[in-house]
Amino acid sequence: MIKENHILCLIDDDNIHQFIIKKIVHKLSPNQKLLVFSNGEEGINFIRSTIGKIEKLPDLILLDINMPVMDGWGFLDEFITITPDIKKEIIIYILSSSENPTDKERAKKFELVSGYLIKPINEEQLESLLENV
Amino acid sequence: MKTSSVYIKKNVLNNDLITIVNDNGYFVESNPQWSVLLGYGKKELLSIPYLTLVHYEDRSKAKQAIERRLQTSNSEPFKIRLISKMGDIIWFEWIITKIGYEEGFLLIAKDITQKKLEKSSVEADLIALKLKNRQLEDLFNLSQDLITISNPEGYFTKLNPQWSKTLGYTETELMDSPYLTFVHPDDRQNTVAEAAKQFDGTTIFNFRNRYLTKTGEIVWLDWNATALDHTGEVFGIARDITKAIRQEQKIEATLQELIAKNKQLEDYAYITSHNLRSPVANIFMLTKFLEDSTLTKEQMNYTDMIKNSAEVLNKTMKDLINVVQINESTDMTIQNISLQETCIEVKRQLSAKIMETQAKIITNFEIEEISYSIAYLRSIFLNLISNSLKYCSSKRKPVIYISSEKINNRVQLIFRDNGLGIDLNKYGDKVFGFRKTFHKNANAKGLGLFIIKSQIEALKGTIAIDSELDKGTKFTINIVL
Repeated sequence: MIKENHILCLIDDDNIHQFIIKKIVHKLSPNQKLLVFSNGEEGINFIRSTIGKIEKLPDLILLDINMPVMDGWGFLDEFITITPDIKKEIIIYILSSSENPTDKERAKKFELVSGYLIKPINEEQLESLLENV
Repeated sequence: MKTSSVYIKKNVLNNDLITIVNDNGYFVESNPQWSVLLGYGKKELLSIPYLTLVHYEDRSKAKQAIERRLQTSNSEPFKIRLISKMGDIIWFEWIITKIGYEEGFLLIAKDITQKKLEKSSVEADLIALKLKNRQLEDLFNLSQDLITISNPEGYFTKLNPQWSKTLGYTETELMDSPYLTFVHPDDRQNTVAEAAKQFDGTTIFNFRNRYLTKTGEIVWLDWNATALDHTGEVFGIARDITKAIRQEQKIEATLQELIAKNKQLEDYAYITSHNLRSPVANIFMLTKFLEDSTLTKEQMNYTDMIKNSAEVLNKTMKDLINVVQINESTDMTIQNISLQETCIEVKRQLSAKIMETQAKIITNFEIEEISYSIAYLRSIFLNLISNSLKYCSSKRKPVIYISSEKINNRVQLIFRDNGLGIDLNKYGDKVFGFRKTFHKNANAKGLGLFIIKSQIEALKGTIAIDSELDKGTKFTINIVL
């Protein structure tokens, strides 16, 4: 069962992909909270500003790699610097259409990245992700 | 007793041969030394003309010399060889003196064989030495290598002409400045360090540094040098390897360029596929949503078609990425692999298809084990056997022959089938192309041959095809050992 009190977060610049994820999440669990940011900087700014409010921080972040302003790697680098201050376990998955082994290897080097998903992600995958939070 | 006889008798113990020769050319008197040196008895000596004792080459010379001296009272000695009874040649210095009141003359002969020999051996030695010297000189002057002697103060003291030829300075110019002046500034430190080693008695092998020509061009030299302990002089031979280095640098530059180009191409493939895949992934999901919504039958058809198109596009891109990945990720470790075992493994993998087609696979591996990438070898067997099974003729049961043999420094691997064959006149140059298919087979992706060709070539081998429509196809793979 999906726990509705959990907060899901998507960081991706692709509007259509945002729409798709919103749609799937809504279908899986209509009341699921979903935060959407269009690039890494928006995402990290939000986390910084809500760092003390545990109940508002996301439980699961789906992170795209190629984004303008601040890409996924930039987000991860920033995130590492503030992790000591985050009093909540946040799970991060890369969700990208890049199958480049270099990207996959690079993702592995981040301990805080739990996995590497390749677009498109389907209902079942997303459901199991949410269940495991 | 005649004076001359007295003289001879007094000199019995003299080492010289002393004799009186009469008008007829016979000995009148002779001291015992004649017998000692020439081995003739006194009686014998008195019974033969003296000329018979003279070396035949010297006889006329002796006669002339004696006559001249008797006529002119010249007493200068001359050299004549005598032959002993045993046949030895003995050099003598003759002194002829006219005896006033008698016919004939007094002959004193000094044995100079030893002296003569000594002199000639010294002469011979000298000649040999000169020859050797000239050879060394030639070697020094004509050598294409740069030969030098330098002193402990760091100056050249001897240079062969090749130095001037190579560096463009005159010999004097080269000797007037410390040799370090001519070394490339970036190599001076190394050169000093290397030269210092020589004073510990180390012989330098294959030290490489750069010199600059008078016009400022770089000359690469490979050095062998040894120092002499007592003088501190260094004997060095350097070879100009500039051409080889240039060649090396050119190859290295080309290689770097190629690597960069290749990387660029790879990146390009990834970026393209990434940028394409994002929208394709979206199209996928969107059509899925469409399917879930209420659609008319017509809309449903369109949705199906959009979905199919997206699927094909997605697959194409996956294939493209697979191909790019061949070049880097697959296990390239080279190890000894059994052809027979590889074949059996692949047969197991294809067992369903083999049973279905009732195919027969005959192997004859003259070379059973090769050094190769296991992943590549499996890929070769899998692709070629499954191709033969896929494109078998419906008129006959498929038979696949696989053989290996050693030809010179390579192993030739042959796959031959009795299948449909390919029209090489039509498709010849495209057989190994990306996503090329030649049969109306829905499962054909046109990747197998492209992939194995890339793999074989990555390991410096070659693959060639020979085929005849409705007879069969033969692939010949050459693997470099």
